[in-house]
Amino acid sequence: MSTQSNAPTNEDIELRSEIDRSLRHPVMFFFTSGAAWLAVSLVLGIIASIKTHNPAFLGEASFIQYGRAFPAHINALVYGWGAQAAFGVMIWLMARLSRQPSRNAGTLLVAGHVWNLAVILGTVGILAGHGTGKHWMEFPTFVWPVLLASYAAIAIWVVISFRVRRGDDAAYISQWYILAACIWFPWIFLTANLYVNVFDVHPLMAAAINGWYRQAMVLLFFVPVGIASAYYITAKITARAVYNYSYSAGGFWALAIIAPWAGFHAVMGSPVPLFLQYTGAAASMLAAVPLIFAGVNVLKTTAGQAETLAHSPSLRFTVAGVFGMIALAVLGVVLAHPDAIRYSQFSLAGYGYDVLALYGFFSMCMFGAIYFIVPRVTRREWLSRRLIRTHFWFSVYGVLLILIFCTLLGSFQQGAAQENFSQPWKQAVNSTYPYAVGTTFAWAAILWANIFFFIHLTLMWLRLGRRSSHPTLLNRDHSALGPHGAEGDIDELESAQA
Amino acid sequence: MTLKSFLIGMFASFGLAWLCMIAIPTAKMASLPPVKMSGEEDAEYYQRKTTGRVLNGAQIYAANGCYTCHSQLIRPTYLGSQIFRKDFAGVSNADVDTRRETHYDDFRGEEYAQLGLTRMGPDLSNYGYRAEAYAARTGMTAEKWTVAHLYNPRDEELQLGEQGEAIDMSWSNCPSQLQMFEEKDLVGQGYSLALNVNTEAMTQIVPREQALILADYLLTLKRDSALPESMNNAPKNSGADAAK
Repeated sequence: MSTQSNAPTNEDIELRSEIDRSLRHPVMFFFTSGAAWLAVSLVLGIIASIKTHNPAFLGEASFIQYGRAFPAHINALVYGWGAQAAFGVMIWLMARLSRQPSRNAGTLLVAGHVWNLAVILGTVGILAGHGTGKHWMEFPTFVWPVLLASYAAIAIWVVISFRVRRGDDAAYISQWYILAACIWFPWIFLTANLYVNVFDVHPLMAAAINGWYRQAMVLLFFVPVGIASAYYITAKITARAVYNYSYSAGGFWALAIIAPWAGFHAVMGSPVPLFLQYTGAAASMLAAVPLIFAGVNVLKTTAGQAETLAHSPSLRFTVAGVFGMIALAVLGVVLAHPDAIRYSQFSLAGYGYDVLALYGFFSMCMFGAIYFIVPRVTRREWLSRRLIRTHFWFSVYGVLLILIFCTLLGSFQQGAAQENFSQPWKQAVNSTYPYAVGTTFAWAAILWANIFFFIHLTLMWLRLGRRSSHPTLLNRDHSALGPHGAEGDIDELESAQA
Repeated sequence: MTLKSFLIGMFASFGLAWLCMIAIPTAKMASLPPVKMSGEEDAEYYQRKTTGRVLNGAQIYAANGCYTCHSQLIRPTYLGSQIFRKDFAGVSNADVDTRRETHYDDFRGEEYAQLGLTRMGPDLSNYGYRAEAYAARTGMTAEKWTVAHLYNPRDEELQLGEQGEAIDMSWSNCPSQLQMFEEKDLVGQGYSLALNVNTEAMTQIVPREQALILADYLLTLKRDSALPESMNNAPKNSGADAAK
């Protein structure tokens, strides 16, 4: 990555702005439509969460009853927001690191629209009562080939821009992670959908493969994209090399070797072969190793940069996301342990794990990347540091509440009540109540945060951002003494230079 | 690291796990050998028998997200104690004890084993027996009790049969499946499964076909059939063995 001695030449700057210009429309399309899906998903999540403690909420309309709102919420979060934020970051990061402007913005945009259309059909399908009942794969079955096809049309350009990269042969660690995610996603997605939806497999194996699919999507798609972004953002903003390159490579290969075995502990206790259940549990626990490797490496890169951390929104979100990843690693060890599964398997814990992975870790890293990328591709700075701060703090508090209510207190209290077989079931239901209420509060905080994020991002997309040569930092007024020189209109400054 | 060695590493690491965890186990599970009920030579083969509209009932179960709150899995005792919970794992009384953990043949006829995500609601592995018990207490048929429960899981009045007792269900957080019901004019003596019969306005709430199919599926959930000796984990002196 860039080091302090590498001051960019004029040629570099021109190339970068050419890359940014070439990707402006697809990247902004993925980010804004992703953020819109995030808002949709959060609204559905709040509705679903309220219904767990107040089932008559909104008059028991069938299309938003819990059994439909909850799957719609998760699928909108995974495919609407998560995947699209990942696409935006993947194409931009790969183009920048390979130093190649994109020549396929049109294809990317078309594929992005097809992807969105498929997610709309899928979400409406779930709400209308055509869900398949396979978690994270609830979209009606006609949707997945469309998703796969539009994915292929997007990812192929990421791989190609790596193949035609300029400069020396050495590739950055972020490139390996992104390339790996590009390869893993179709393999996982195709395997899961063929085995579960197409082939005539044993019903229990279909359920087991569904459990594997969910864990693999987290560990082999969201984790590598999140880590790639975290490595890039921290190295860029602190202007340092990544702390230890062997840690990066070791962490990458540890993830590649361990993660594909994980996930079958979702069906622990069911009559599928025992080695699947326990290998799955062991691999899910071992997956903490690559996550902590990458996490420590990123945090070490930022060591001693407390001021930058406080000022830069990108770095702040990224570091929060890396802490989320370390929490995810620890939680994976706790929840996959066979002694904990007794309590956690059928409690809120699984949901808490998903939320921590998708929001506490992945989304925070993506927000970090978005705060970095959007000003570059739109050539406008973020409007308000207060909006960014609100987004950050409400997100952090929301995730912490979900971590406490869903995965720690809630799940074990609920699990213990379920285990207490001498008491009536009513007690197990009642013991969930306070944690269900807490989860609703957490989602409300996260929705509050993201309403502002969505408005802010939309204004940036409309190119209504500040036309300034100074980036929006969190703790400091714009100063002529700063590293960016006197503040002024970016377009005027450049035409004056020319 | 060149691209070639990178790709080889990727395919080796993922491919090995894929073969061992997905492809081979799935192929093996697709052709399980038949098992005899006991070691005797003329013993019959184990075969699970189910009746009712299992397949399309399971699809309605899935589409309405029942699996988000209800599990269908009785785990072995080393992974939980639900087998001891009343009505969860089978019939247990002075004469007979059919309680057992879930068996790999219990989902025969379904496309996908709905093991469930959470237990915000109770396990449904043996819902058929539970519905019969509730129905007996409230003086309804099991089908009527199930349909009424789908219409409003929290209304205590609905559980009150002609000569039965009321069961407190107000604590339930189960959603109503209102879309499975419609209001119709009351004709003649009315429909035997009708709910909320209003003789003044001459209307009744009638279950649609979906509710009947789903209720039929739920009532088939009796996963306690006797297993082959070689697969029976029940203690030797339990009721199940005593009954043989």
